[in-house]
Formats: sequence, C-alpha cells, structure tokens
Amino acid sequence: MDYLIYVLAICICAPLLLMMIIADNKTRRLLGFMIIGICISIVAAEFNSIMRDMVFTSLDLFHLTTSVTPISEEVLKAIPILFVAIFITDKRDILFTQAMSIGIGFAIMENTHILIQNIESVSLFWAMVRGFSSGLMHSICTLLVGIGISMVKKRRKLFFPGTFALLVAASTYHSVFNMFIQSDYMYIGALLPIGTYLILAYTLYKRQKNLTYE
Amino acid sequence: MYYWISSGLQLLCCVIGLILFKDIWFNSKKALFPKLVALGVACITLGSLNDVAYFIVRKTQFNGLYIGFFGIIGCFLSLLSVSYGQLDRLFDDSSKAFFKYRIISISAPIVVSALFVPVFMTSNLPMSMRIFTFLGWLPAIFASYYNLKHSILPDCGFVFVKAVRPYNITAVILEVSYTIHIVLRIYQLNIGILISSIVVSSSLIALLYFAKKGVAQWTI
Repeated sequence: MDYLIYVLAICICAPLLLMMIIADNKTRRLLGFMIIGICISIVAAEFNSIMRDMVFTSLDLFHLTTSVTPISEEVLKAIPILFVAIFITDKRDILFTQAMSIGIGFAIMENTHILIQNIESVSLFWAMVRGFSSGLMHSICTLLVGIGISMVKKRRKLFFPGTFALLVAASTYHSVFNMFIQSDYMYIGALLPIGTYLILAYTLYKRQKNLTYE
Repeated sequence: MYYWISSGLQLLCCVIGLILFKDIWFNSKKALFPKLVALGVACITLGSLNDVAYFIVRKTQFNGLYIGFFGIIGCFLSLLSVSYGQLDRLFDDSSKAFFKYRIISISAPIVVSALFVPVFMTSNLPMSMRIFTFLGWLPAIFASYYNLKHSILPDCGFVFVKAVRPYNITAVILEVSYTIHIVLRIYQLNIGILISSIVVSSSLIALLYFAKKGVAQWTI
C-alpha cells in the first residue's frame, strides 16, 4: 500500500482541521502548524526515498539516516519557520510555539508511519522511546532554528550565516540521535532529547521567574 | 584511534568552554557578538559529538560525507558572520587610510587556501570529496581575512578595536590550525593530528574567553 502514508495523514489531520474551526486564534495557529509539520513529514519521506533510490544508492540505511535524512528533514522543517520569521513576525514567543508545533506534528506522522511499517516488532517500550524521545528531538531541533532566527534576523548580514549555523546544529543533533537510537546504545539516544528538554524547560522556568520577580 | 582521540579532546574542550562561559548564553543583556561565537563553538561541539558517537556506535571512522564536517562549517560561518556582519562595519570605514591593512589581510585567506593545495594534488580522496571539502572550507577562508584585518587595524582611539584584538588573533590561529588539522586527517598523519587537535581545542576555549572579555572591555 504505497499511499498508506497519505491515508495516515488524512486520518490525523482531518480531526485537527475540524478542531481549528472552533478554536481560538492562538490554538488555531498551534493546530495549523502541527498540520504543517505532518505535511512536511510526508514531503520528507518522499524526498528521502528519491535520494535513497537515485542519488545515494551505495549508502546503507544507517549512513542514510545519519548523514542524509537529518539534513533534508531539518531544512524542510525550517522552511515554514523561516517564512514566518521573514514575512510575518520575528517575535520569539510566537516562533517558539510554532516551531514546537511543527516538530510535534512531524514526529506524530513519522512515528505513525514507522509503527505501520514495523507493526510486528513494536512494543510499549518502543512506543515510550519513540513517543518521548523522537517527538522531543524533532521539536528541539525546530525550536533551535526558530529561537535562533528570532535573534539573528535583527541584521541582514547576520541572518544568512546564522541561519545556516542553526540548521547545521539541528542536523548534527538529529544525526547523533539517529546514530544512537539505531545502535546498542539506544538508551543514550532516548535520554539525549529528554535531557536537553529538561535543561531547556528549567532555563525557561528560571527566565519566567526572573521576569515575574522584576 | 588518533582520529577518535582528537575528536574526543575537541568535544571535551568545547563542552568545558561552553560551561565555563555559560553566562554568554543565559544573560539576555549580553551583546550578540559573544553569543554568535558561542554558537560557533557549539556547532563544533555537535560536530565532534557526531564523530565520537560514530566511533562509539561503529568502532571505526567514516570516510566520506559526514555531518560532523557541517559542524565545522557552521562554526566558521558563525565566526564569519561575527567578523563581517558585526565587527567590520565598526572597525573599517572603507577609508584609504586602512587600504594597506586590507592588502596585508589578503595573506590569511591565501595561506589557508594554499594549505589545501596538497589535498587537491596528492591525496587519495575522490575529486568530488576534495572539491566539497574545499567549498566547505570557504567560510574559514573568508573569515580569516576579516579576523587578520581586525587584528592589525590600528585602534585610532577606539577602545573596542583593542578590546577584541586577542579574539581576532585567536580566531586566525584557529582557522589556520584547523585547516592544518583537516589536511593531516586526510593524510592520516597521527601525531600531527594529535598536536593540531590540541592547538585547535585550546583555541576554541580561548576564543570564548577573549570574546567575553573583549565585550566586557568594549562596553565599559
């Protein structure tokens, strides 16, 4: 069933689209970017298939998922954030939530697709690892780009090299995660985004506390 | 083995540097300049982490296109954006008085580019990899021009030129030593890889230190 990924996307997106109609503006934006993340996941899957079949034919699955797909997926996820930052707003709070939404939407679609493809070998432990670690990883990578763009957009000369540096950082983080998660050291891969998320959450909590105190 | 040790040393030094100077990240009142330098060091940290992770998982080094190299490119792009995007418009007013310094500074990219000539001429890498490596090194080549220029420009009474001079000198050392390090990696000259990685790792920590110190003196 070649179009299974599209079936999955429709099943997930349809309720979210219906929800968007009755949601308030902020929630509607969040849901909208989550749907965008789901669509980007489909585009990335097709793009990676083309790269695997036509360009990187000699690479095995491990090297494909650690050298090629991190770059393509992070670039594709960054496109909507870049669009918003350039044409709509560069407010950090808005980019922050939108970047997280795209990452979460991407992770939902990716996990669902992988689940269907490996239905015989999944387990609750697999679900916990993929659900928490993969979802967080994709969100953190897109978040990194989103927050960074809000900082470097201030001057044009800083924007392009700064954006490239952010994409590189996101791609290498993604590659390291993929490397560990496919190896005997799966637990390191699982803990990496969770640890990063806890540090990020603590930092934001401290910052919010300082702002409230002031 | 030496390749793995050099990546591990680099990773360790970068992490130590980023922890020691963590207030660059978390103090929102700090200028953008040291944050971009820290971003560059963070890119190298992730690139080195990628190399180390690959060694841990596969017990060998990967020959070919690998994401760790993009970490290095990201670092030098950050340094280039600092030099060209922020500092150059403050330091160089395009006047004729600074013409000779611009001419002298061209020597830095020439030296860095010339270090790659042996790679093109004699290594066993496929031509596509050689070209990719050289193109990926272009940010370092351009950044070396601005860093050398900002190191030798007279301060003309502007304290910030003098304040960030140590940063610029360290950046030039980093660009040249990292180029040598990459060339030695390609030729697998193990002792040279170790020595150059020590210089590179020290330069990365020094870069953060001088960036932070320079901005502190700059804003007095």
